[in-house]
Amino acid sequence: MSGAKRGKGGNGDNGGEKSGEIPFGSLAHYESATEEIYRRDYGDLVQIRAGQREFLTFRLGDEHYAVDLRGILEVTRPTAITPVPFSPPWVLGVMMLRGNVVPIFHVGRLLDLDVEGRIEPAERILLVSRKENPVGLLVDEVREVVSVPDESLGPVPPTVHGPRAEYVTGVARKGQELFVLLNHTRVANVSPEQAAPARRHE
Amino acid sequence: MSEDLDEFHGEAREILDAVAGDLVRLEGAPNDADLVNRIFRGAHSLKGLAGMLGFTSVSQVAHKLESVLDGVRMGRIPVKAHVLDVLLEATEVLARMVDGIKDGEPEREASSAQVATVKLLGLVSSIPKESGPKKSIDPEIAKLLSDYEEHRLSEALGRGEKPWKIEVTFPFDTFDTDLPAVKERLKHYGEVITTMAGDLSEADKMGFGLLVTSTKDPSVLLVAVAVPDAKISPVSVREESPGGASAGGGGGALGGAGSGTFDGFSGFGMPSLPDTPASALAAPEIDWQALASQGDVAGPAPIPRIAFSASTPPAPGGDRRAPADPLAPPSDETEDRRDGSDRRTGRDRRSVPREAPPARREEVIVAGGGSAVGSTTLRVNIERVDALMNLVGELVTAKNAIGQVADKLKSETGFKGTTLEIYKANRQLSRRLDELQKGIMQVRMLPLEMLFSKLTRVVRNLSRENGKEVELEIVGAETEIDKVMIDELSDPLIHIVRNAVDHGIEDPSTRLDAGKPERGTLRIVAQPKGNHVSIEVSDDGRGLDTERIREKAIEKGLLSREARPSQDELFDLIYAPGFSTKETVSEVSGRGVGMDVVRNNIMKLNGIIDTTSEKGRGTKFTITLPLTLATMKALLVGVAGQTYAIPLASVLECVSPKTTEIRTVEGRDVLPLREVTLPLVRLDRFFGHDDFSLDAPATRVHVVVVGLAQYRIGLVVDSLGVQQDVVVKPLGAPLTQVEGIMGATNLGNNRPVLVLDVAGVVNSSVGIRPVKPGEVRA
Repeated sequence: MSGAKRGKGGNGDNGGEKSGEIPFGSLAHYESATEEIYRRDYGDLVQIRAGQREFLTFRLGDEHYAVDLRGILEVTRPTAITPVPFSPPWVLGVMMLRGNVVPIFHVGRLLDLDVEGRIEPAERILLVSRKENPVGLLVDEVREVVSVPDESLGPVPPTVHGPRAEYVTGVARKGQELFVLLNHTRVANVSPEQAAPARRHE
Repeated sequence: MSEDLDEFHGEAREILDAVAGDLVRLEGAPNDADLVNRIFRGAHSLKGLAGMLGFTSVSQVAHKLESVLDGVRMGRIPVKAHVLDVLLEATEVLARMVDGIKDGEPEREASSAQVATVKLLGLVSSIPKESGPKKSIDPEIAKLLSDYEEHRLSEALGRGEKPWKIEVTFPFDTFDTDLPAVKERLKHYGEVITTMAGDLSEADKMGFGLLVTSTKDPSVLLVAVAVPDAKISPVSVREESPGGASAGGGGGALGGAGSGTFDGFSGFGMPSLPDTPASALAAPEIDWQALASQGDVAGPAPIPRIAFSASTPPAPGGDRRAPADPLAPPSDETEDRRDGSDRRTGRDRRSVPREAPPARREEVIVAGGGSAVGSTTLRVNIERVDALMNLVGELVTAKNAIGQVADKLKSETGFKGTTLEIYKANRQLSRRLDELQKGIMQVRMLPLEMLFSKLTRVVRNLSRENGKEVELEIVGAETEIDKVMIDELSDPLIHIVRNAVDHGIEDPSTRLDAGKPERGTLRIVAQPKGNHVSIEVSDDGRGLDTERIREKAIEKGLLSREARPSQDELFDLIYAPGFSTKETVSEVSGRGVGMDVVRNNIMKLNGIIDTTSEKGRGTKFTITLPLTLATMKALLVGVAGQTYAIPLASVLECVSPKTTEIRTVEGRDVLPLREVTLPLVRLDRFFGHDDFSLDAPATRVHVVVVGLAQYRIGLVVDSLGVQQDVVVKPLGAPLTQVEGIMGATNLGNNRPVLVLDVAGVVNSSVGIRPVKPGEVRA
């Protein structure tokens, strides 16, 4: 059910009456989907232990990234994406997801990685939550869920700068592998001005 | 009828519950003017509601309740326990009467109604005569005050407070929050009697004048105001003899309180009334007699009309008229419609004999008109209806998908067998879905009646305050429109109506000099037109003065001195922000925000507004609106390889002119189309798909002519597609401010199609920068 919440027309002061509604982007809705997918796809891979954090790892170009699993609502395949005018290149456009319109960001472009011109057959969309509605992040391939002890987390290396520094929180080490941790909250919460700057007037 | 009855019961009970609650609260806060006003308005609304549906017994009791409450708020009846008892009892009786009507036993409570009536009338007749010296203030300010405000002022002066005028200026963006904040702060130091318009010389600021009474030092008040550059000046006071008081006990139009009162009120306080003690059972009879001589005069009229007059001529002797509010708002149009006769005379004919003593039996008979219905009104949060509507939208999408599968099968196997069955089943589904959609839409639809009754009150108060005589004709109040649109439509219509009474219709002497009837006419006509509703507001006033508009526009820098704009372009200027031709700013209109607000609200609703005016003859505004915003029909167009949907509500026509017909004027493409020159917007360029543009080869282009508010522009597209029902979804944050896009829709193939925000396109093409009339003329 997609009880899309309309911005207008409601009389605001009906606090107690909302229980039956599932507004778009409600976590309850997506969390169940996530857990389902999670169990199906990754259930046997992980064991949750105290002092450990779980990350979903993914690939962007040739680099390995990870994102806090708690921030991911759902992983889905991209369907038809309609470009949106006046947007920067990293705003791919909008996609229908169960009857709702979801903005899709190209994370590689956002981080200014060298990803143009590649064909990525394993592309996936990570659905992350924004305050009002979910936002989809296009990544090149979803790998696995890893559990990383807190002591294996490190700060952003000084070699990372530019847009990447803005959208990463640090690194995680798992065995021999090093993952750059994506700050999904920051990515999801880019401002409307960033995502759709005003049209240039002639 | 049964729907009306359910609605009536639900609404009446809601009002009565609120009134009862407030009455209880009043006991703890007997001096709370806002509270008294709210209760008064409740009683007034109930009276109107009951009157509208012909439940005369209820409206009569409510009317008496209202009389007492008016006495209370005018300070003529004290808020004492015995008064509150009577008021609460009356409220309870009314609630039981309303229940009785719903249960089909309207006469069930007749006797308690009678008792309540008698008690209420007892209170009314206890009102003392006006006496004592009256203080009044600077007549320049006094004339801006409503009766109620005047009353509060004289009360405050009586308490020894001094009147001050405080002038404050706020930035245009925040005045709507700043002003209430100042008023709230001032409340601690005195009483804010009224708010007047103030200095408007600065373009981005709003000035206000506050009439405040206080015992405090002016410097203290200025500190309380806490607004930079606020000014305070004393207001002169003079003493008046009792007889000389101007509007003190007069008609009782209470503009300031935002609601009307009934005309006969002064009768209660008149010397002709004996000073009957509150308990006197004889009161009703005396009262009716007294009241009978107090009503307004209204001649029979050939068409339904409500007359407003600044003066209230006394009724001819012997013409016994009911005291019932001759202008009970909601009742007006309904009764007009249903009787097809003059509203007032119609009402009088019914109510006079019934109200004449012996009242008891008569009321019983009247109440017998209610029919027996058991169901109840269900008040539903509009968000839930929207959610259902969305769901239907999803179903439509799913159905479209099935249609596509059927089409595919047809091309693969031919139109036979299973394919044929799928086609048939899909058509069935389609039909049912249509019905479902209409049914849900129906839930959202409300008649314009309530909105129009608000306008009735506005006109009535204004005409009194301005000393103008206005006849209001309302046609088509039963026309239904989406609830959300009604809410959004309220402000624009009030602005237009205010303008008409304030600027349009001349005062009686000017009208006579111009050879017009003394009394001006304001017509509001609503009618459904297919998927649209049109609302016309016309007056027979002085019309828009194009010369003055021109001067003002030049003064405000909206127009260059050399420009030679057409009449229509001059009319367009009245919608420019900050534009107002009225030299003296009054409380009522002329703040220069009016038509700007009108345009913006109409735009928001995908509506169109047309202005026609003839100097000396009058002005007409025609608003055309889509029936609903929930679903819309859209025209699909191709632009630079993308599909866009244009809301059909805004589409006036599609034309395919030769490229050679397009002219360029000052760097902008225009298309001469019949008598107008249409500015063109190339959507591919607008959306920045320059690389796809089909500049060279096409010999014809497709132009979708859209209209929005007062604008008409042509959108140049690459191809024209089909029309389709769409449910528009927002793009989702952070894509909330994409210029020219209101959202996206799913046409069934799971590929979002962007829906054009015509208002956005129009705005960024023509609206934001000052309109320069003349420049789009070829």
